[in-house]
Amino acid sequence: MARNLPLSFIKRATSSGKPANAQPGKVRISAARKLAGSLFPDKHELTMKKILLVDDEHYILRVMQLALSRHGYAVSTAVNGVEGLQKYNDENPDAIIVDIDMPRMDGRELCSAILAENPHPACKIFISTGSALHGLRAWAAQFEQIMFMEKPISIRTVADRLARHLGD
Amino acid sequence: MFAWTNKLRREKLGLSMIGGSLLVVAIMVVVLAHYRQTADLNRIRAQGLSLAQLVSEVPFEQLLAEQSQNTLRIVYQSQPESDLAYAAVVNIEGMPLAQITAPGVVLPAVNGASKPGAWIGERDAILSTGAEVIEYYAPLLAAAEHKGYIRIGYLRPSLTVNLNELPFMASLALPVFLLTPLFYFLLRREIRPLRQTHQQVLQLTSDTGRFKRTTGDEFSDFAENFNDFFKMATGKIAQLENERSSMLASSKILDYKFNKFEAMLEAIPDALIVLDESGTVIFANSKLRPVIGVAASDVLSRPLGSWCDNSELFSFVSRCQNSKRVAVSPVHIALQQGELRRRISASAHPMFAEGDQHKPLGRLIVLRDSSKEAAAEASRDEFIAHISHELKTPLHTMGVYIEELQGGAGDDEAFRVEGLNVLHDETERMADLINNILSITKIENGSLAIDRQRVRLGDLLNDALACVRRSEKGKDIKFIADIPNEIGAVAIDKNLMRVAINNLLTNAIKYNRPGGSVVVALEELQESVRISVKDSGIGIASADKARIFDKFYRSESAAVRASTGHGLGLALVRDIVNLHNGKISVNSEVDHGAEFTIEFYKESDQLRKAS
Repeated sequence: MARNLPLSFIKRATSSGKPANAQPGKVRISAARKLAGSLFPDKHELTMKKILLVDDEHYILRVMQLALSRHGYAVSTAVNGVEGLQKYNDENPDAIIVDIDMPRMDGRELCSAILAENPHPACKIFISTGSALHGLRAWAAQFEQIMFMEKPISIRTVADRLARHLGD
Repeated sequence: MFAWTNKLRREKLGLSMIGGSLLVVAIMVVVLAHYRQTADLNRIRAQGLSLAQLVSEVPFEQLLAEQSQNTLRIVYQSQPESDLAYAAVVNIEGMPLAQITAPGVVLPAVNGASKPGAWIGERDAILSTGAEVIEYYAPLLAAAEHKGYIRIGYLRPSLTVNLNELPFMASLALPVFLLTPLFYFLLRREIRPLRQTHQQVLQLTSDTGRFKRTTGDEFSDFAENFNDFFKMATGKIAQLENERSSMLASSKILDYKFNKFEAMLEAIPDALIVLDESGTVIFANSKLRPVIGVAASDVLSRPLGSWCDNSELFSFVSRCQNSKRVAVSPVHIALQQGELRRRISASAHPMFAEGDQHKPLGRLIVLRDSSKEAAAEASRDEFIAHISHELKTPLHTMGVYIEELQGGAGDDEAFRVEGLNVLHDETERMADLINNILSITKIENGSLAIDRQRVRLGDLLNDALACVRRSEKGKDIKFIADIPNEIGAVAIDKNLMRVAINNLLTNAIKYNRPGGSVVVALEELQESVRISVKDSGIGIASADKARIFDKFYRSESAAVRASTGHGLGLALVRDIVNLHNGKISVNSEVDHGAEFTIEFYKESDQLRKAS
């Protein structure tokens, strides 16, 4: 997860004098876990709903993971459709939030692959994109399992929709 | 009376023929009578001379004896029903010695001939009644002595017709006379067409009232009327010929105007179809084939349904036919031709006669191939969609970070620092995107004029390097400048070239590795200069090289996607280089860095050509 994140901004903004070869990813992940862990005790982790975020924007993955964790979800991330499909199969999430414009396998292909395996999956599929390309909404509308969330969207709205569809 | 006169006039031909036949008969009678007279004269001469000679053979004494009377009587009686007027024996002195005469005839006195040569012969005499007589005489001899003459006189035959010969004459005249009505009948039958022609001529000319000659002579009337008619017809023909010449001239003018008009219609780049009220095509220009693939000749005089197999076009034109008075709003029609799919824009306009705006004469259908516009619209929509996406993405990131900072996560200092840096990066990203979009749009729509100035490229490159060296982004990168000082000024747009070089440097940093290097080199060639920006970064896959200058294209490589970007930087560099008539190329391998090279002339094209 941390391998793809350019986290030089932490160095830039903190000016804390940390060495250049520091492992900012570890700092950030430990901070996120610390924050999430402080809000949700470990005893709840087994009952937490699993969310898979698939997006090629690392900042989005980072902050959405943090925010949804704070809302009580177990969040995993993938940076493209191929990785997303792999994690979908491995982790069997309760909901998947997919960006459309991604390298290697885009969101549309990922959704099609998921639905090809099981036309009626238990997993809720959300498409979250800023793309205004013609036909995308019409394409999504033909699958009742797919819900549309247009960027920009607030974390609160995302959490509400997840809660509604996951029966929290 | 007048009717009879007219009738007689009309039948003049018949009457003339009757008169002619009578004349022929009369001539025949005269000729016959003359022939008869001549024949009588000859007969009389033969008889007279022979009788005179015969009697002169008789002894003179016998003639004077009692018997002589009998001889003369025999002579007289031998000529029954003849014209014998008298027979007489006279002495030398001419005194009658014996004679026999026809009743009422007195022997005329004549002088006797003295010479023997004149003792015999023929002479004329006139009776006391005035009638002419032909006398034949011969000498009478007794013992070789001349004693007297025998005189035999015949009445000269007159030129009269004997009543007994009338049947003969009639039998000769009748066939001649009968031929006349037959000939007349045949003639009338033969001239019937002529008469009808005459009637037609009269009817034809009845309007003028000029050619109604009715002198009674059909032929002359016909001839005169026909001559008049011929003159009139000749005049009319001359007049028509003039009219024809002027019409020909008018027709040529009309032809010229029509050809000009048609050439104008042909010159219009759109396909035109003119339909009449019934929906039949009455005109189509040659652009029809390139626009909808149907030749104009294949649609002329044909109803729409027989040649139009595109349901949308058919439906549109049918709708136009139904809405009589108003122009139908233009529509876009999809046209599939083989594998080629095109868009046709169709509009319809009613056509009215001058001065009558109520009843349309037909409808003009204009078809235009708007595939390029459709592609441009699609491209524009795609462009807007891309921009929208590229703007929404950092906005979304910023929105979520702000929301988190406002919430519980904002209490964590590390997250606050992270959030501020993300907001800073995303703000820069959006600013760069907007600047690049504006620059690209200006360059591509031609509103950005290149402003060439004499610029020292070395200074420009050193400034750009100094700027990125100072920036946070370039802290981990080693910058190397291979910029000779002696290179002179070149004619370029300084601001645009700075944007291009900054974009190249930004990419060289963004896709570099920590601790990597960027080499900026400047080289002067004979007519051009060459700038290269070489990095030691992730490199470019060969599949991406052909598309990296396309707008909004970003490699799908995860290493590339690890950095934010909007796919406009290199497109803008290419546009700026093209604006300077320069060339840009890339040399790269994955994981072995990339080298972008820009080459352009030191002087503008105009200056080079002038020199």
